[in-house]
Formats: sequence, structure tokens, C-alpha cells
Amino acid sequence: MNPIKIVVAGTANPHIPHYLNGYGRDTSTAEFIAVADFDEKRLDQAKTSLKSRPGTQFFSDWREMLDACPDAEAIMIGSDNKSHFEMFKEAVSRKLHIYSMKVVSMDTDECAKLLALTKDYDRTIQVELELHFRPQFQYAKKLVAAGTLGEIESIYLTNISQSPINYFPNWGDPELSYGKVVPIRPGADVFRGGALTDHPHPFDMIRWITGHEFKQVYAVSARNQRAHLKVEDHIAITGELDNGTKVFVNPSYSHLEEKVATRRLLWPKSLECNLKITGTKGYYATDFYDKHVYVVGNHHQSPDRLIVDGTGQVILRPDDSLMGCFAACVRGEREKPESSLADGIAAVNVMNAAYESVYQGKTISVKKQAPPQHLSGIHNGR
Amino acid sequence: MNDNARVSPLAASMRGGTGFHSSYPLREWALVKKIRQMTQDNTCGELRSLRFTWQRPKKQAAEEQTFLYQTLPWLLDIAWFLADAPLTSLHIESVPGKNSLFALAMFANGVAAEIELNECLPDSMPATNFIKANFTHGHLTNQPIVGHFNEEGSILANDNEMRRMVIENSDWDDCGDEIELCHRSMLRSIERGEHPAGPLNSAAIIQAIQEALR
Repeated sequence: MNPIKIVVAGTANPHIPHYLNGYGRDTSTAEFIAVADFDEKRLDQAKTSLKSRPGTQFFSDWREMLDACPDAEAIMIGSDNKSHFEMFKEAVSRKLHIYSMKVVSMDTDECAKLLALTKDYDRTIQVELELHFRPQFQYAKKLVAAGTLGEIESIYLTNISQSPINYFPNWGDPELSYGKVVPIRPGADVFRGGALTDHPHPFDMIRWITGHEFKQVYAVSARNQRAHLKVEDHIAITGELDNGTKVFVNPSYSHLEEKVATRRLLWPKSLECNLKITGTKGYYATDFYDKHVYVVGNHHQSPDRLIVDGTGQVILRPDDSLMGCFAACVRGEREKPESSLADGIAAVNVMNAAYESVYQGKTISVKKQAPPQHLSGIHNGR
Repeated sequence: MNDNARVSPLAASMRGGTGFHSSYPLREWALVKKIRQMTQDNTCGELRSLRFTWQRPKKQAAEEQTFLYQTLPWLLDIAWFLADAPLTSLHIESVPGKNSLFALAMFANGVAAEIELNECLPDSMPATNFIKANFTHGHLTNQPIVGHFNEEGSILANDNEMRRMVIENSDWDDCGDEIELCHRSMLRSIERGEHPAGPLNSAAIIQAIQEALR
């Protein structure tokens, strides 16, 4: 497979450095031909990550980058969430294949417009929902589809991490993250755009594993563990799927980190994605670090402390990976991506219902969710 | 002690006065006492959220009334005890006809309690009880850091057996034995030309063993 020529619009998303550091050096699936970011510091970091690729161009303006790279086949949208919509529209107008960081947008109207805009789009659109590629979760989907667990009664799924906001301060800006400034509760000085906005995975995973949609959710948000954050760092959600399955989701930043400008864990496990499925015939439980190692290293990113890390997985086919799947779709070797725009937006709908539940203090229907009055007209309402 | 003087939470809710004791045994749980003590000592800062896990196999499940009006009150009581503020809201999402529910409670000081109460596990599984307490400057828990029972791999269970699995790829779904997976991966590496050819360190290893055994 020829590597696809891809440009990166924005590096504000905390996952972008992983791509630039890893996939940027591996040219088998994708070749990063240009990177744009208005933030000089982030652009310098991208230059450092790609220093072994001397042909890569760097720009401070993403539109200028697109003009300068007519040979680009695809775009990776990696800016703050607030800018995704404009980038997405521009990418569609230029007929680019699109690889979007999550979330595509937290704005319901923007999501609807993007779905309409891309209804008959003949290019690949993949939203980064990376847990689809973890074998333990793929196995859960197989078990449910095969009926091994019987009728599913309940699903418990956490997506608890440390907060990335110390080293990605933009992630803690409610407007950049959520797209608008909305208090978590009436009169609160903490706003939407934190842990829930950062973690669409549980909602996507539950849909993906069960094939059912969320019907309703109820959510609570505790006082923040981190007093300095403007966005929520805790949220817990219960709900029901359209087939009556009961669910629990916790997508919080409940694992503490040191308050320094680099990623340094206090709680030894950066991520807990604990999935528990209870069925009439059986039970399955797994976690993100289901094949773990413990490490203490003087030169570890979190030095001189016990850290839980994961081990690798066997990749049997090129499209077993995020970029491999995208590249296979672009090259016509795979019909559709593992996680689509519709998947990403379906998760956003549940997340917004959960935010509404915290705000209104009651159960919110996901499908019948009307645009609430307190959201109308808010764009720069800080 | 007179048994008549010790009553269930449900019975206590219908009585007044101080001539009896309400039965809340989880207040004596050493873990609860430790969290309470460390909260009072300011070891980890201020408490912000609590996550309770109460799981039982079906064979240990209580009567529905006991499940709803004894076990759940026990957990809410220790949540209240640890939050040290009045309960302001409670939401319950329960599986109809089963001892399985998720509950979310909020307390007046902004502490949230998340409760997973599931007595529908396969009979091959053990009971588990965890609390994870998240503070402004730390954590306190008996919850395993890794794995469901602090074991590597995933858990697949029915009433007859509980298997621990290692899943390297979901296409290799006979995925129980990590070392068997190593053999399979090695064969694949050989096919792909990624496994080095030749004796490698075999001679030196065998010789060392033979000498050590002499």
C-alpha cells in the first residue's frame, strides 16, 4: 500500500503528538507532508517530532497549508474542538479524506450540519475512537454478538484518566473544548468541556458492543478534585439503552497527576477502562490494561514511582490499527472505517444529554433532547 | 445484647427514640474506618467522590427486599458517613426483577457516591467489595489497580466456570494461555521472516545447564 499523503491541521489535541512521534516516523501507512498550528510552541514541538522527516512543511495557518499542499490526499483535524467544524467544512470542500480527532464538535447544530454536508461524500471520514482497536473490547463485541453471555442485563464501563490540562492548558478552556461557555449547573463556576467532553469512548463502546442506542441518561458531577480547573473533572452517569439494558458510565479525570507542565502521574495508572457486562448466561470483565506491566524507572515519564503500563497486541492485518484502517479505506482496500462520523456524533448526543442531566438534575431522554434555552445564542458568553 | 434492640434500616425508618440500635454493620468495615480516619487526618485532602462495588454470585443473592432495603441502605449509610454531609439526591437505575442496580447519590457538600450493586454474577465467581475514595490530593482504595481481581487478563464466566483470558487479538479467540499465544506469535514471526534463524544461544544455554547440574 502506498502511504497516504496527509496534512495535520492543528496539534492542540493531546493525541496528536502520539501520531507525530509514532506514525510520523512510520511511513508505511501515512506520510505527514505538512503540519499547521497557530501556536508557536506547539509547532516547534511538531518540528522536533518530525525532524527525521526533512520534507515535512510547517505552517502557522491551516488554510495556508491546504493551499500550499495540493497533493494532500487527507487531513488530520487535530485542533481544539472549537475549530473542528470550520476545518471539517473546508476539508469537504477540497474533497479530502478526513481523519478527525474526537470529539468532532459538542455543538448539536454543527453536528447536524456536518452529517448533512457529508451525506453523499465519497471520501473516507474516520473519527478517532481508538478503543475499537483494542482486542479485549473487540472480544466483548464478539461475545455479545454470539450470544455467549445471553441477554445483556447491565453494562458498567469506566473511562477514568488523569487530567491532561496541566500540560495541555487549552484542554481546560471551556470555550476551546466545549465550543461555548456553559456552567455545569446553574450559577456554577465550573463549566462544561472537561472530562466528559474528553471521553466519548464509553458511549461509543456501549453502542458498538451492543448495537443499541442510549434511550435516557441521568448524571451527577461532584465538586472538582482540582480547584484550579474551570471545567468538570468528575461525572458519573447511569442510563438505559433502547432495549432496556441498564448502564453505568464514569468518564472522569479521577486519577490525580502532579501539577507540573509535563505528564507526571500520581495515581499509578493513567487510564482505567473497566468494562463489565452481565448477561443472563454469563459475565465478561476486562480493562484497558488487561495485559499489564509494572515499571519503576528513573527516566520514565513519571520518574521514580510505581507505574502501571500496558503491553502490546498482535496486529494480524494492517487495518487492525487506527491509521492502518484509515489508509485501507482511502486506498479502497476496506469499505468503511471502523468508527464513522455518525458514530462520533451519536456519542456526542449522549454526552450532551448527560451534561443536560447534571444541569437540570433530572433524567434526560437522548433521542427527544430539545435544544435547551440556556444554550441558545451562547457562543462567546464568558 | 437483646436482639429486639437491634433493627434493620427499614424497621428503624419507622421508629423513633433511642431505645434500639439500627443495624449498619458496614460502619465497622476496616476500610471504611480507614477512609474516615484519613479524611479526618487530612491525609489526602478533602473527599470529592466515592465509588462502591458490591458484587455477589447469584447463589449468594439476598431476597429482593433485603437487597433494596438493607444492602443498599448499608452502602448509602457509609457513603453518608464518609461524605459527612446530608444526602441531597439519589437516583437508582435497576434491572427489573434482578438484584442488580446502579445508584448515584449526591451529598450537600458536593461529594458524589457511585454505587454498583450486582448480585447476578455467575455462580463460579467470588464476591467482591471495593471502595474507591477520590480526594483533592490523593486516593484511598482497596480496589485492585490492575485487573478485575488483581489478576492479569480478562474474565469470562458462566455458572460452571470462570476463565482468565489473555487476548492478544480477537481473531485468536481461544485466548486463555499467554504462553500458547507466544508460540503462535513465534510461528507467525518465522513465517514473516522476523524471527532470527539459527541456533541463537542454544549451545551456551544447554552447556550452562548441564554444567550446573553436574
